[in-house]
Amino acid sequence: MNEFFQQSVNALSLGSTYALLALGLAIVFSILGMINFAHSELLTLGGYALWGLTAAGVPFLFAALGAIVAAGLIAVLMERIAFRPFRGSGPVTLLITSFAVGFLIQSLLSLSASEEPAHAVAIPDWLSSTVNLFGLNVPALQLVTMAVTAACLAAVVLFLKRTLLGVAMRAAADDFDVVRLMGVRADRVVAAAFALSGALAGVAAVLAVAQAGSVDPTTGVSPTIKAFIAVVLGGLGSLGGAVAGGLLLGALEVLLQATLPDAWLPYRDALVLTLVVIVLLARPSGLLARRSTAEAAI
Amino acid sequence: MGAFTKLVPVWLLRALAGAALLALLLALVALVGGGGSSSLQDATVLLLINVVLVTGLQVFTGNSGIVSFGHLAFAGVGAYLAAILTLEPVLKAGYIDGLPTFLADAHLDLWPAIAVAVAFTVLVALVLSFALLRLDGGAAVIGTLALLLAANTVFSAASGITRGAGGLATIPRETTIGVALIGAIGAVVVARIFRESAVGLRLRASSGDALAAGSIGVDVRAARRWAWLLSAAICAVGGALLAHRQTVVAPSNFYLQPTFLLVAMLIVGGMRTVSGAVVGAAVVTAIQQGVLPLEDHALHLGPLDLDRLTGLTQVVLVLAILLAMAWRRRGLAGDHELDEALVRAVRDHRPRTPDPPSLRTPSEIPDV
Repeated sequence: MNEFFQQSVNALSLGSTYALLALGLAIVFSILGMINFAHSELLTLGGYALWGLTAAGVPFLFAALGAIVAAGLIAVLMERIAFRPFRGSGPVTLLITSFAVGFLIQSLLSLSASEEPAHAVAIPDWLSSTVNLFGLNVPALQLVTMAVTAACLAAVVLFLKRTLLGVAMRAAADDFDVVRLMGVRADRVVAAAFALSGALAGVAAVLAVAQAGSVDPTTGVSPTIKAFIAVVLGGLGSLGGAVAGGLLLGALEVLLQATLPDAWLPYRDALVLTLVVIVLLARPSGLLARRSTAEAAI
Repeated sequence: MGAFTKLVPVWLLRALAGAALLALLLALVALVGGGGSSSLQDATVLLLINVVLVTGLQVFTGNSGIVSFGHLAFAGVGAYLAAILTLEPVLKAGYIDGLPTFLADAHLDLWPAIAVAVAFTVLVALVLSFALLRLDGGAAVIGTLALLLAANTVFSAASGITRGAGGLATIPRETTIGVALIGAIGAVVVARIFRESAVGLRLRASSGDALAAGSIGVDVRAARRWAWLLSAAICAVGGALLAHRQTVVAPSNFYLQPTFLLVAMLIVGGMRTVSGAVVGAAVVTAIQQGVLPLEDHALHLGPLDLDRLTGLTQVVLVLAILLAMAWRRRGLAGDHELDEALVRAVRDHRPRTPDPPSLRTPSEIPDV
């Protein structure tokens, strides 16, 4: 029972990071039909912002807030500078452009960080301690991760349901042209989507860096690849699907980590992907697919 | 001519003529590079191997329009299997301990080893195709990325066969310029024939509009599967040649960084044509070889104070991609193969013959 509880906490906290990243990817995809391959660099840059601010003596909580805002701003800038000129020029162009932008940021970071590849980030004691919960020792960071993720998801839902901009974003995911005919400014909706997507990546960055204790130019790559897979697992373009996919992927990883024999452990990621593929064989458009579009019929 | 074109269809002639032109260019590159210094020879071999790999990727991505990040997984399978087959059994004993006996005892020459590696890779690709080719659009792209991740996990984990992250070493160095040239020409010929074939034409139609292609009776999924298998085979050859060039293969040779290079080559050259793949491989390899030595230099520029320029190559290549996206979205080669572009250029420069009289106005009709 204790083992089960501990593993459930592990699964939820790992899945939370994936869910935050996947949700950010899905928000942008649902509106622009674009897979943002530079998303991992939002996470990395958020981590660097956290490192910079804490190193400058800013208290951790304010530094975390600063990192989240920074990631959101960088996402908006990225869209404004790199993606807007290509808007409407087809998914492949946008995909390649974001892929190139991501690699550009990553290589500029490694160019400037060649002396000191990884920067250690000071994590406050309360975050790296363990909490006694129902007679079990649970790392405080895992509890914080779950609580923060839940709060973020609630905030995103409230934003999308209760605010005008949020409603416009949901409508834009259905039919951008009609939304524009209603007098909503397209640029504002897209900028809001990127800001939200970036801020969520910033939250994930704070949580991931607090877990790892350091940040380097490739910090964001591995979690974001997992988030891509989570997005497809949940159903590309579905926001609920992205969150569900993230949580399920986290659960699968922890389940295999706990149950696989030692000899099989190195193969964990490949086995997780095999399970994902089996799910996709049954449901090619994902678990919570959006109303199937004409393209899905092929 | 009439009887001949019955025997060999026109599309095949056109494909072979186009491939011959590219083969001529590749042979020229090999000849010039082969006469140079040893580092130039080495760069030439790398260029020719890159031509094989990019051409393999082009067969799938260029014709279907689905960007694949997963094709180096096939190159990896081909590389490891071919390397294991060419290694002497004496060297394998104790060094690679997870091999089944028939592989541990096997000792083949390069080309038979490549043939076996290709056959096995195609089998792997066939199994994967049932899962991956069901996905469409963005999901398919992410599916290929997942394939790359899964392959990397397996290459790293199966240390009894691949020697894990440290890499499999002592592979015989058998990829000479001649061998690489044969590989590159073979890849270009196969890719060009596929592009002009009926299946290739159907697939290209589906990349423009999959729904419309389906509605006129194109079996989009079957066409994609043919391209997938063929491209996996070509990439396996490329991987095997790579393994026998650098004598060491590690999982990182088939992961994100090299995938970025491969995609850069395809995008800069132009993914719609085989000529584009060749041009892209040449340009990107040249940039890479030119910039790489600069990474060891220090840069002291005002506030900038860098001891090493790690990643400079990537920065330059990314800028090349972004420039291509901004000004030549279809790559250097554009929409036409080299031979097609030549024919068009000649046709456009020929003095126009006046249009034959077709309709006469009533006043011109002579009275009878």
